[in-house]
Amino acid sequence: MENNRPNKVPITRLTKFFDDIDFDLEIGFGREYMEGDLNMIVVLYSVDIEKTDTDDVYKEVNSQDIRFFPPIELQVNLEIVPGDNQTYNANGTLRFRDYGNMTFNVYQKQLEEKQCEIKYGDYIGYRVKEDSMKFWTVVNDGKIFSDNEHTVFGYKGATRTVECTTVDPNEFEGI
Amino acid sequence: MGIPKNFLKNLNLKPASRNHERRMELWQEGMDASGTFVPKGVLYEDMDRDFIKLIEEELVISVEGKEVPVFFLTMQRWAEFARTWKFTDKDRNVQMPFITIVRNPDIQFGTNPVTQYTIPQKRRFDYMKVPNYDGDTVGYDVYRIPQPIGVNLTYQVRFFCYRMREINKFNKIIMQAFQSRQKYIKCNGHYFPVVLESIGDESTIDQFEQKRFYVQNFEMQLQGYIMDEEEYEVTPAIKRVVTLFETEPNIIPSRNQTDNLNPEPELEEYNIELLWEPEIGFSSGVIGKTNSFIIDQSALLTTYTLNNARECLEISEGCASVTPVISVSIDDGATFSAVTLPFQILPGYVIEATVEPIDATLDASVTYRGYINVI
Repeated sequence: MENNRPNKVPITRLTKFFDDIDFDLEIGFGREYMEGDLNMIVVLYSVDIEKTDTDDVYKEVNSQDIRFFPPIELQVNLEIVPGDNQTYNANGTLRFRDYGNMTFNVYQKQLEEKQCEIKYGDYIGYRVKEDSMKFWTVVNDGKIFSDNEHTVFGYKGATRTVECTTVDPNEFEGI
Repeated sequence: MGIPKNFLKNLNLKPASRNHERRMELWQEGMDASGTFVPKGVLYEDMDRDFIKLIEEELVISVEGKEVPVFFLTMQRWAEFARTWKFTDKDRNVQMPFITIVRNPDIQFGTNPVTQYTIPQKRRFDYMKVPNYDGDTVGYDVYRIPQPIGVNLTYQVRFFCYRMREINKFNKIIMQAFQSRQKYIKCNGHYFPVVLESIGDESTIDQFEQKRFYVQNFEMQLQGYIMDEEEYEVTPAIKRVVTLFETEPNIIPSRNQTDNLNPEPELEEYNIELLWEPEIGFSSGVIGKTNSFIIDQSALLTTYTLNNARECLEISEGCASVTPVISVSIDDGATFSAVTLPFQILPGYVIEATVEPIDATLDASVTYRGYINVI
C-alpha cells in the first residue's frame, strides 16, 4: 500500500550520477520527442462522476447523459492494434470489425501541467480521419508507473501507459 | 358514491365462439387465408416469416424511444449487410441494442402430439366437396389433402445490449409473453405453438480488456407442420346430367314392340293358293308346276301348307327332289328363280310353285301364308 506522506522526502538513489535535475532533463528530451516531434494527440474526456446522473440501482447512463470535464488534448505516443474480424453470433452471423485496443504513453509531467487525471472508464478520443473521431474507454489507467519500464534509470516514474478498448456510439459519442 | 357490488365494468357484447362454433370459425379463417376452399399451404418460409413477425411486432422493445431492430440472419454475407446497414454506425458496425434471430438449419420431425406419426403412406383424406357447374352439368369436386407433417423449428433469439436495464426490459417482455410456456402464432390461418425452451447468457463480461456487452439467448421452438399445396388432390365426384329428349306426336310402333302402352297391332294375313290339276298321262312321283299367280300386295310369306303333295325338304331315299319349291318372277313371268321362305313379295311379282302330287289323279295345291306389310 502506498503511504502518501504530507511532507516530501527527496529521492536520493543513484545520487552519485543522477538526480532530479537529470531526471527533468531526460523528461525534457522525451517530451520534446513525444510532444514536439510526434505530436500525436488524443482527447481525454474525463467523466464527471458527481454530475453524471446515473441510474439508482445499476448506476448506468445513456450516452447523452454522461457528463464530463472539459476535454483535454494530450500529446502521446500511441499504438492501435488491428481489430479482430468477429461475429456477434456463435454460428458466424452478424459480423463486426471494430478498431483494436489503443495503448498510449503519456508523460506524467504533462498530466500534472494540464491538471488532469486519467481514470478507469474515462473516454479517449482519437481523430482517425479529418471528419471522424473514434472513442476508446480506459481499461488500464496506468496509475502504477514505478516499474522499470516507466522510470528513468529506475530513478522515478516518468511515463504512464494507458490501455483502452473501443466503445460503441451507444455508450459514448463525445460532444 | 361507491360502485355497487357485482357491477360490471365491461359488457362482453360479442362473446367469443366456443366448441363447434369455434371450430367452424377456424375453418373459415383457413379458407379466408387461402381464398380457396382448401386451407392454405404452410412451408418453412411461412413459419419463418411469422416467427419474425412475432418478435418484431408482439415482443417489440423500445430503448430510448427507438424500436430495437430485429435481424433474421442467414449465411449470405451481403444479405446480412443488406438487413443491417440502416442500423450501423460510421464504421459500419451494427449499433446496440439489437435482436438477432438465427434458425437452426436442421429441422426435425415434430413433437406436437397432434401431428405425430399416425397416418402412414401419405394417405389423402376428403376435406371438402365443392360444387361446380361447367355450363352443362352440375357436379362436385372432392378436395383431398394429406395429413400435415409435423416439424419442429428451433430459433435462437439473442438480445444484445450494453445495459442491465435494457436486458431486464426485454426479459420481462419474454417472460410475460411465455407465461404459459408457449405462445401461438397464426401462420397462413394455422395456429402453431412457439415454446420457450431455455434462456441462456452469452454476455462478454469476462472480456476485461475487450469490448463488453450483454447477450441473452432465448431458445424457442416452433412446433408447426408443413402442408404442401402441390400434394392436394382435386378429383371430380358426382355429376348431375341434364338429358333432353325430342318427341313426336305420331309414332309408328315397331313390329316387335310388346309393351302395354303400344300393343302390337293385329296383322292382316295374306294367303296364296297355287293349284295343280291332274294331267293326262301324269303319274305319281313326277314333279308338276302349279298355276302362276300375280301378286297384288306387299307381303312377307313365311309358311306354307300342302294339300295332296309330298314334302321333301332335302334329297334322300324316297325323295328324288326337293318339293315344294317356290319360284318368283319379277319380269312378268319371263324368267323364274327359286326362293326360300321367308320371302318378301311385292305387287307385280309372278309366283308359281313345283309340287309332287301324292295321288296324280286328284288336285294338289300348296298354300303360302304370310301377312301384309308396307315397305
